[in-house]
Amino acid sequence: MPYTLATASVLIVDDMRPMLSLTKAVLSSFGFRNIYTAVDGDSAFEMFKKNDPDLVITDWVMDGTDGLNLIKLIREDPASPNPYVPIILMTGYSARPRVELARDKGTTEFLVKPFTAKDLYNRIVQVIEKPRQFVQAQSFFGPDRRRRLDGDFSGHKKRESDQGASGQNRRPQNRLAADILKQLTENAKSNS
Amino acid sequence: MQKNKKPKYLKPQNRLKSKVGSGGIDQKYIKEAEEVINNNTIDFGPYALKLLDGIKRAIDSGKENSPDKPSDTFIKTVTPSFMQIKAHGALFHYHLLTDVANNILHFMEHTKVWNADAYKLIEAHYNTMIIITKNAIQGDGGKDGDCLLDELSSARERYISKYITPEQTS
Repeated sequence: MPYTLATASVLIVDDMRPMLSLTKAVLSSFGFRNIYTAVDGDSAFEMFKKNDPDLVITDWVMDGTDGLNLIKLIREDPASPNPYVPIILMTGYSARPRVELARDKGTTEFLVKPFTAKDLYNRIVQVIEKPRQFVQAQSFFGPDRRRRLDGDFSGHKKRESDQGASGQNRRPQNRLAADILKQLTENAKSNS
Repeated sequence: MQKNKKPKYLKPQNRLKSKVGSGGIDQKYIKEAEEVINNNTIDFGPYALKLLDGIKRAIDSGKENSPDKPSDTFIKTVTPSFMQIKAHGALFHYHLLTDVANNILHFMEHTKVWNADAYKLIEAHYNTMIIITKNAIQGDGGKDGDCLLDELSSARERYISKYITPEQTS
């Protein structure tokens, strides 16, 4: 029997409306039918209180109440209907300190943008099949942080330079960036 | 949520699992979702230009007011904008834009030594992104895109090897 995602509800939060629409369309393709959307953390928390969704997928960087503050509200506010709800945090950041900060704020799973549909699906499977136990301590309440989060860039990764400053980049070819840009521009114009 | 001194471990009910059951979803739905991303017709250009405009203003202000070292305000303004471009470019067909933004974002996230040359490096990436966006250069740019990214990566590496000791990188 496959998942019956139509029976679950999900809240998506992103202040970039096209991204919100795209994420919603991807989730619809997976089979979700009860999808709530919000464009900022404050309205998202109101929606969360009202609808008590089974899953939250939120962007990190937003004006006002950002993704981390939303997670804090969901995890710690007395009005939160479900402080244990799985939360997937989406962001373009992938540096380890950022991933650790997100984990320390109560994130369940971390999803680096740009992502593929498969990446998002895998995170959803993770929260369904391998839920984390919760830790209630003096300075922390949230999913157990001991499982390492994978914060590597998961998008369009085809270049050796993606391995970072300490990696061995390919030998630069002997062309000036300006010439290359000019060529790219001409190509774009001739193709349009 | 009350916090006790001694950590407690809790196993909440897996409500999501109890609702959706087991078995995953058919691969065809994942493929369909990939096609939703690949075939979206959203024009990311105006969003990118708005972010780039904010970056340009921060660069100009930074060069004028804090020419020797980008200020914390500069970093806090520019880093999230590059991150947004990196995050969304490829999702809306601007793969090269994502790659260029990723290159400078990596620099900004890991570099602890700043000086006036950092502005030059950031500005080079900004100028590249402006050209890509204004000319609607979608996809990865092919071989030219590879060469361009190599040039920018090389510039970043030159800055790092010139100014930063291995102990100063993270």
